[in-house]
Amino acid sequence: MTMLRLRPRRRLRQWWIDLMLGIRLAVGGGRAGWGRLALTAVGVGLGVTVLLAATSVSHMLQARDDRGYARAVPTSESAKIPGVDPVYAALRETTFDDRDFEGVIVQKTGPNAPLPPGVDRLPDVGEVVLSPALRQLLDSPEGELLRPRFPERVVGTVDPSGLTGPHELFFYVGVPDVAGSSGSAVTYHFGRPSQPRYLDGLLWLLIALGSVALLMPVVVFVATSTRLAAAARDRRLAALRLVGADGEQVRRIAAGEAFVGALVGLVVGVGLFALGRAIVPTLDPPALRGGIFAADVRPDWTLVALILVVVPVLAVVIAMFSLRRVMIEPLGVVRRARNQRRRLWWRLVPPVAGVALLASQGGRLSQKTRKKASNCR
Amino acid sequence: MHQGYSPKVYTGGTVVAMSIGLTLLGLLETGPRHGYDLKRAYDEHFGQDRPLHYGQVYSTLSRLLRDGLVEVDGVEAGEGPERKRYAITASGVTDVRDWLVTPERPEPYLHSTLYTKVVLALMSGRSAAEVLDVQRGAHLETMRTLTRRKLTGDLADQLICDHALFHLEADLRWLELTAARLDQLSAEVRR
Amino acid sequence: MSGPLLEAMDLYKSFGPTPALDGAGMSLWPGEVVAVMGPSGSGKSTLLHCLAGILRPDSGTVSYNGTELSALSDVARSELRRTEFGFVFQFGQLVPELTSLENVALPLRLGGMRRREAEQAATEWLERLEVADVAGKRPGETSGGQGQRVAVARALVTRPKVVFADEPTGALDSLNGERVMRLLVAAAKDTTAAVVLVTHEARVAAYSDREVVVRDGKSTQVELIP
Repeated sequence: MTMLRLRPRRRLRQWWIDLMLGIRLAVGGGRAGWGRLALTAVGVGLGVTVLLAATSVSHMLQARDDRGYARAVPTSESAKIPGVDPVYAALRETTFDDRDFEGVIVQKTGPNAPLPPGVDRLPDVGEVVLSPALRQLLDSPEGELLRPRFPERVVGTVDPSGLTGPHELFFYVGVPDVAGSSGSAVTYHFGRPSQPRYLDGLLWLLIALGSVALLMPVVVFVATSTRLAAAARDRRLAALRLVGADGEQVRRIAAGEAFVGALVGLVVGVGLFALGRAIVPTLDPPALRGGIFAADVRPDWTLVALILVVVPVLAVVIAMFSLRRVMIEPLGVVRRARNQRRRLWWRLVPPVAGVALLASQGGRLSQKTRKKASNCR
Repeated sequence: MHQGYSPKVYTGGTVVAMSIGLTLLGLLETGPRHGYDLKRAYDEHFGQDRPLHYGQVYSTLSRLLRDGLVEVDGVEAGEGPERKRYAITASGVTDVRDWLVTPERPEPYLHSTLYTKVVLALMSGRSAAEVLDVQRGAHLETMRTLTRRKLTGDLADQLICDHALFHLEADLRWLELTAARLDQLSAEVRR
Repeated sequence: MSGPLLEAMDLYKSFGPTPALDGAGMSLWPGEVVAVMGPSGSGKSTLLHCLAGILRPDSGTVSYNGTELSALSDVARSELRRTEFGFVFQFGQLVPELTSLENVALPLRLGGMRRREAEQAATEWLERLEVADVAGKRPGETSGGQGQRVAVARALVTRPKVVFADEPTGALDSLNGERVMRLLVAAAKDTTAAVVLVTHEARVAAYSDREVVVRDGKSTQVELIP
């Protein structure tokens, strides 16, 4: 006679129920439950934001560069384009009140002058086209002393496609004798072929270092909040064991819980990123002259997809992994206190990776700086 | 068997002879009654194991009548005291009130048989635990009976049974404590 | 029934140097309520945990319906807890994140029952234990007496063969304790579940059919004549 009816498990449904139970435990668990979820979500969210920002840096810099090249005055003799009246143009840089200005002085030779990006009409002599930031500066009381330097008639505004950033102070001014000025060239078009950023490797190194520096406190935050929530989780899981959840079920339930935290964290992260993106154009960091267009802050979509997949998976894996070390019994959680081998190789991974990254880029770095030095005019 | 602890001892003891008169007065306070009704009401609420005798009722009533605490409210046709209806007087009401608000003397059960037996058993070198186990068995048997009665009875039953149960429990707790102490003590002596 | 439902023999169990169980044993017959009594620290809770298979004795046997519990896998013992056993502890057995209704439905859900069926059964049990009004509340929002009655409902919702109750009224006042005991014993009798009732209070033990006394890890049981 056996009373132990070990009937065949309707496995899939049971898995589903267990996961849903985990999700249920994560959400709507009263004030304390919501508090825990919020902590996890904020932690994971901050991490996701940093990662999204890190994947956006490359594109942002590239976009700025591309637009810079697209409006550049060619240095070499440009080929003749039929039907286009060439323009004499020269780049001019100046400063006012510690601010850098850049602009192009132009002299048209006919009505069919080539147009730089973001400009409707190339100015004739006595006319000027301004970037919005420069125009605003000239209109403001601050710009009073600057106004005499731009006596020309304003005939247009450079739109974002012709600027590297929203705060860039840029102008095109029509001048009578550009041909005789220093650095001038006669050209049938604006723009030089854009070059891929030659510091890509180094850039990635910097991005990686910056991200790690930013992620460190986030990791500590997540770890602390997880540890704080651990006691409550242990009690909860032991209570589930008492009612008859087996070891695997409890793990699945914990996985469901972790999954929810990561998912909400992703949403928070994407939200924070969007918020940051909206705020970015209002900033004017000295390192990126002219500021950043929100449209340039665009994460690499393949990496975004990776983050969206990896973060929840990682959360679930970590939750399961952390439970490997404990035995959840109906009466409580027993930590396996057997002297664990401290696996050194695990701890060595970050420093080794860091050294490898530095070594791989270090050589190129010295090379490039030499090259850049020789490129300087 | 342990005769000393049947429910009777406690429930029968809830109303001692001295206070039968006051109890009847208390019952009369709810309205005039015949002697027979009075006995029935008394038995129902307080005398499950020890009903009053008729003689006891009527002798008590005549004492109360003499003291002016009750009066005859009406007499029905026929003979005998059972035809009389009794009502409480104003001084009877005063007496009941005074009785209810006067605290009972807390009874220390220092001279109970149980105490004597346990102390004797222990003094003669028997294991305190054994005495306790045997006594607990007997106590629990009684307590089970009371609990069953409580679960099927009315509120008055519940109150009476609880009163007895709490007292029995107190006995056992004292016994546990004593046993623990004496086992400890004898262990120390033997060392 | 040819033998006891649950039988423990010669149990030894120690946590550290002092033994919690030192040769204890007891048997439980179908449908009976047995009080396990003894002073605190005597090992009565440990005995209950061994009987329920949630603690493995160092030596000795516990058999349920003739099956040795220590021979069962974790999955099988979990299943046993879920289907054949019910638990009412002094406190802490309810999941604080879940409502009373969800807590009572929990063992059914863990067994794969659909939510609607499970919650319907849970509702019936909450009504039976006179706590239908707190169905939507979490354990932290109910009184101690209500919480214990919810726990009793959860212990019985799977119609177990054995209910393990460890000081079920330990944290309650007399009135609420009485109420929990009355409902627990009545429901157990109705469903013919046997009850192992660990308590140090004689008034609570008085709800039992017989008692087992545990002292210093040894037990003496008043033998039932079947």
